[in-house]
Amino acid sequence: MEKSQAEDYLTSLLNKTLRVTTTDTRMFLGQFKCTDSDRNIILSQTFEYRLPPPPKHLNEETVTLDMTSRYMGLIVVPGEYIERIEVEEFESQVRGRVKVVGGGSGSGSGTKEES
Amino acid sequence: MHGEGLSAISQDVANLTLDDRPRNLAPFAAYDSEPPPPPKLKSRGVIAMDITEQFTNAAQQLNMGQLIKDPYFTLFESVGALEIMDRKMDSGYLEPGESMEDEYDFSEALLPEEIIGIIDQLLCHEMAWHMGHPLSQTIFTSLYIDRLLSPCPLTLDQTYFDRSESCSSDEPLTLQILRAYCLGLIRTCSYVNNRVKAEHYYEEEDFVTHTFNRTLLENIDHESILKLLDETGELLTSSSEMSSDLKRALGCRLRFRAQFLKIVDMADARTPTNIKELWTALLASLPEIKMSAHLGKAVPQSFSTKIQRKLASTVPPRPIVQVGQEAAFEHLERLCRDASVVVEVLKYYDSHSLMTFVILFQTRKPQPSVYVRILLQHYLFCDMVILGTMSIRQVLDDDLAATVLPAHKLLDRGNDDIEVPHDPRHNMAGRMEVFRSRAAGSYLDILRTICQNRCRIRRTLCHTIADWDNLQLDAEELDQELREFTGEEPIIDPEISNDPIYSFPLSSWAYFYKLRQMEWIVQLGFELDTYQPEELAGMYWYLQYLSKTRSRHLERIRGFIMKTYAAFRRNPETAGPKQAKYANALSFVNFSTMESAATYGFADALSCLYTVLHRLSLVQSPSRPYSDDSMRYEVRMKPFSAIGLPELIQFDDLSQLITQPNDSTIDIINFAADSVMGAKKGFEVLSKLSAKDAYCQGSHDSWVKNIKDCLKACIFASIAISTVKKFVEAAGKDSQVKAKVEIPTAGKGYHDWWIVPKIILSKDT
Repeated sequence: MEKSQAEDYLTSLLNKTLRVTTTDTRMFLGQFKCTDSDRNIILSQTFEYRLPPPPKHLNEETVTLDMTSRYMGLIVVPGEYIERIEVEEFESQVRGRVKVVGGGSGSGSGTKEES
Repeated sequence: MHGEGLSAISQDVANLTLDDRPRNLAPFAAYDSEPPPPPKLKSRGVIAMDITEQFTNAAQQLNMGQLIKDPYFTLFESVGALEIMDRKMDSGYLEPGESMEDEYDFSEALLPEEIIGIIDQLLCHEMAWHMGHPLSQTIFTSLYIDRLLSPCPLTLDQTYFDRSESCSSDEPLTLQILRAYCLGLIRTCSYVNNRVKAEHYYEEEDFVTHTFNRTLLENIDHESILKLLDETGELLTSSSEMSSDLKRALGCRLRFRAQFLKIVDMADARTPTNIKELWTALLASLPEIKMSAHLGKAVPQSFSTKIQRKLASTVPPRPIVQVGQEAAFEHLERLCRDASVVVEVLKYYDSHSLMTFVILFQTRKPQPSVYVRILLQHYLFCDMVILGTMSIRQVLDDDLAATVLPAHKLLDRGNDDIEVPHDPRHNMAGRMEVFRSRAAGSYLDILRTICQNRCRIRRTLCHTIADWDNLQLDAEELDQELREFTGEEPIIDPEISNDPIYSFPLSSWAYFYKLRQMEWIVQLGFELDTYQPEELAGMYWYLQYLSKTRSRHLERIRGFIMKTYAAFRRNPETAGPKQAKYANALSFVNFSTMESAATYGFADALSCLYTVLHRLSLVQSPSRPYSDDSMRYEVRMKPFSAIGLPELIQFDDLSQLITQPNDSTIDIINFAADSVMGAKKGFEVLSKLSAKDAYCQGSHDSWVKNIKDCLKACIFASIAISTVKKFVEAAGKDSQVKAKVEIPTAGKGYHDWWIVPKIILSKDT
């Protein structure tokens, strides 16, 4: 990727909703405002999502637990702690551009949430 | 070029934001508005694509320091961003091995002793909140409280601590007691919080109303909580599970909570109620709780700092505030006492007594707690109806009548009904309405200002005197216009001036209050330890200057009242009730003159005393290489520098007046001795005045105490002066005096406004 391309790409993401997962498994969902060469990311109107603690009595059955969410506002996530970055897009828009996405490949860090 | 212009503009805009926006540095401020509901993580039509790799690659292409940012997003804003994974900023950051939740078993029954322990701890937390700590570090640290608040219950049935049971019938009695108490506590806090929020206070300086996005059970009817408290109390009485000591201890706590809840619900009422008795009864119920506190057994594991991670807060958990039981009870007792006194403000006598009441109530030591001060504001101002019964106009007219315009036609309510445009009465009514709309706010602001904390009172007064200066000018214009309609006859006295002298009643009134406030600013400076020891001579000089100016001004007012009074007496038709109004205004002017005489006498004496101490090198100024006296004076007098009347004394003139270079030390000290004797007599006379004559109806006791304290300070000062006088006489000119001077800090002297130095003889020869 050339530099100008890289700049264009990042600029095109501005103000889109990003889901940034950090090394401690929390996920932050907010509007992308700013980044730099160290991949530090500033998100506004951010919500924090955290995996709930494991249930005390584990049965074999699958349990569904809510991810706990909390409003954080404006945050900066230092690049070194970022594990994963996702962008939210409308299915209809994606369909035109990319052929295979695999039906919501990654929604959040877990798959058990239903907030 | 175009681009540059734009960026210059955006730069300007960014600078504007920097300078002009009142920066609220409060850590909770960002959460004052309700946050938006969390977005759904899964919704139809929206998918999340993993772009980690593309993003990382693209970011790596950027130069060091290069930013890709939304053009509307300024770097200034980014300063406010919370840094994730930073242990000082990220409230969700967990130390390695730390868990988010507390492992606490709510279903476990507690011993009655433990319930007492938790309840008493909660009371300490409640008082800590009243003292100004945030809920997050006090009441909200209780796991039981957290259990009740999150998720927010809609009915009492949803408030059981143990949620595993579908049926609630087997809730242990101990837990029911705790639950009822906690519910009552939260509801009490909710009343207090709402009341505080409705009035003027300083968030995080006086009080923290922030609830961290939790509702304080506002959905649950307060009657049902009271009912639960009562029922639980009955259940407790009939129970045979525990010893009678414990039963009594728990019972009195439940009753206290129910009482407190009832009171804070009722305290808002401004109609006559038995609220005073209720506060006294609450106070009377405290000893029983205090005596049985030793039965309690603390349950520290039921309090946790971790709960703060779940609150809408930008700060990582802070330690739990520890307020001891002694301190908590003391605060609560004082709150009850002050609250039972503050109710008396509702009984209105006259506008001057009202102001005296508010001033004296606020000078209580220690200052009444925020909630009580808020109640005072509520009683005074709620819905712009003064004390719940009077219009602002009524109070303002009362005050004008009792100061400058007794029984005057300008204040005649009948004027309002005249609709003939040429009629002078119609014009008077119109002009007076203009004046009232201009002055009412400023007048009420004095009262509201006095309701704030001590430092804020002084600070705000420094601002409001500028407003009063303008008000005086505006009023002067109106006074001139009104002359045409009142047909006022001027005084012509060639001895004073060749021009006719008019009374200027409205601006006189404004000037009087401006002077009062300027005096308070200086006096509060003494109380708040604002001045350095070497400044005291100058500041007391200034106080006597202001006070003397007031006295002269009152003389002028009296002259005009006497003149109209004489004219009124010549006309026998209008006698009767008006006579009393004249008497009242004259009596107030006399009283205020007396009070100012005592003040300037004492201030003069102290100023001279400090001057002498300077000459004897007993008060020394430390070297301050980066400023000089005149610069410091300029800064100190900044609030007064914009005031037209009385004019600010220039520094050079002032230092002449203070140091009195042409007078001998013995002359100065003799003058001080005379002054202080005069002041002492003045305070003695004042202390014997009746409530009515001293304009302190409703607060006579506090008033007498205040004057007696002044008198004590005065006597103490006269002793100091005579001690110094002996030195001066014995030592002769310019020789070193063997003594030490101690200047008491605020709160250590007899009266906070009178800093009297203590002269201590040196031991060595």
